[in-house]
Amino acid sequence: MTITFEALLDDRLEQLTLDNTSEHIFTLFSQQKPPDNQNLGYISRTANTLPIVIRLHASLISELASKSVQQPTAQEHHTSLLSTKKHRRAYRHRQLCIPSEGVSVEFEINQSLELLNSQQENSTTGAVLWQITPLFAEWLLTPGTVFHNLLFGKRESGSGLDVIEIGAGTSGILACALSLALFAHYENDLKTGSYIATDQSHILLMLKKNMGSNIPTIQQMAAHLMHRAKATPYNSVTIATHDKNSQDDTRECKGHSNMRRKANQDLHAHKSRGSHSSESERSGPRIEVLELDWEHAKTDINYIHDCLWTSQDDAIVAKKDFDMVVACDTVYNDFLIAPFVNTLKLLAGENTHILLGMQLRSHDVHETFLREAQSNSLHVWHVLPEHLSEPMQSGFAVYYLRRS
Amino acid sequence: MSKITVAGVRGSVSELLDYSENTKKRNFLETVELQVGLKNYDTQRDKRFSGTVKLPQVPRPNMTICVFGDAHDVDRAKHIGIDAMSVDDLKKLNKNKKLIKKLAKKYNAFIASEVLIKQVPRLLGPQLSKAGKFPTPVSHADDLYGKITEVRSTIKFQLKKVLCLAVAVGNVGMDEDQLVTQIMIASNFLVSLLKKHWQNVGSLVIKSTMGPSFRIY
Repeated sequence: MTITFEALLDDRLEQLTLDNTSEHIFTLFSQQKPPDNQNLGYISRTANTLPIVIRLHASLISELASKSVQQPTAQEHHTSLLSTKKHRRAYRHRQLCIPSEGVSVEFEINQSLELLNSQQENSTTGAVLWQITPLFAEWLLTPGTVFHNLLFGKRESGSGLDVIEIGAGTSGILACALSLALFAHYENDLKTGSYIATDQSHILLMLKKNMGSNIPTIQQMAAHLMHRAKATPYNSVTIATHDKNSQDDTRECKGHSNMRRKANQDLHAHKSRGSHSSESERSGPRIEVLELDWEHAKTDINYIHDCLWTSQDDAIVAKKDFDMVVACDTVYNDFLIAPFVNTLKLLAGENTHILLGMQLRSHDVHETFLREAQSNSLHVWHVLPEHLSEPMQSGFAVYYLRRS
Repeated sequence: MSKITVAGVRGSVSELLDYSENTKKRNFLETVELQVGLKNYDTQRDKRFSGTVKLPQVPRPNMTICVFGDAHDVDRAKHIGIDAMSVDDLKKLNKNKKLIKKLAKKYNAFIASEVLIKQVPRLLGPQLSKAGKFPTPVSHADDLYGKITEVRSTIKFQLKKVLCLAVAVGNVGMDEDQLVTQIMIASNFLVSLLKKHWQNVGSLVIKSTMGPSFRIY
């Protein structure tokens, strides 16, 4: 890791302690309170499909272009490419438009209104897209923002960026947006990284579908910006789920070995697929959808670890930790705070950066979470609102956590 | 799409007003409350909501407000007849829990000079936060009187641990049209705070302080 915690900690972040937490809540809910008439936080609860536009700042484009390993001067190549008809044709289906400042990427997100309106026992919160997610994604991608370098900064050789998202919901917006960083690293120096989007099992199918249809857009984008003539083909993006329900029985009686075997099968499948389609030996970033239910986080995280970091011969190569944990709008009910914090705690390694985007709703739930995190050996920082994007300044907050 | 109709609400409102004006007139201005019962709401899974909406009329004209102000704002507040406290006044409370609790109870809402907001929790501790009474910031450029009216006409829906809540939407001094509008705006806003919209609404009831209740949904 090139980005150390110390390098991150600047005056844009304010550390919270048990002593100043209530002060923080007071200031936050007085000054950054949501505007009147703010609904629960959904973007739409009647649309089956939502077009979501993420704007990539012009400086991000030049930042990526400057990383290009190819010879022609970045800017020239870029503009010439943009103006060719061939380009337009190639990207017409990818819904990519080029305004004067920056580039907008349009994703088409399917929501599950059926699930939302169903009476089922499982949580239905993940069925629709919540407002903070696209705002948070766009902000993270903007150069100069607090955490931008965590994603796009230079990485030591051999270490890819490994990101896990918890409580991803069905949209996959954060996965699509942040995977730009993975593709950029990959196009630049063939470092494989991973993005694991997780949620409860009943959400995963929809999430997989949304990611499957939107990730190629961002992959094309990265390849194009990095001036690779030939983009890594779409199908090198593996989106694997494991169907836990069908496995539950075996899991209980035969325990870990069974899961391990399944994990290895997945891994194996992934590898063969990857090497089949990729131009190099490496298979490109791994983008996957896996189950992580906060209420049985330990087993699920073990499975994810196995899936990612266990070699085929059943020996654990390196039990490493994720570089980044991201989550949006995951704190909204007292009951879920303890399992959520526990999940963060399990995922937080020595070098793990935890980034949380939150909507301000109930002040006591918010405060309980901040206190719970601190009393579970996590340090908490708050990103000062003036360093968030403008739409995030009223009604939202961003936190940075790490293991203490 | 609204599940309650203006005509239906109007019927209940006119009965409510009739009772409070003709059947049993009280010696004070009765408040009209909207009482909400929720259903299909999973208290352990669903988003705990909190939201504010501004109504066209002030529901409770005698709602008490206190301004925490710098010299300028304290002067302005006194000029328009609103209670105000300076930093020195707050310091005098000496972080005394009892006194601060009393203060939090005495007023329905607080307004604070923008420059002072950061100091307030240091002077008063967590008591105001606990009561959920976060002050609305006011700057010197803002019209203080306008701000006060805004605060008075803003209502807040906040779900606590039980599946019912009540909020003042008007008073019996309002005419039927005004009251109907207030109720419609409040109900429709409440519904926007619910994940399953009308599917989450068990009942909506309006009631004047001393009168019987009328079910509108």
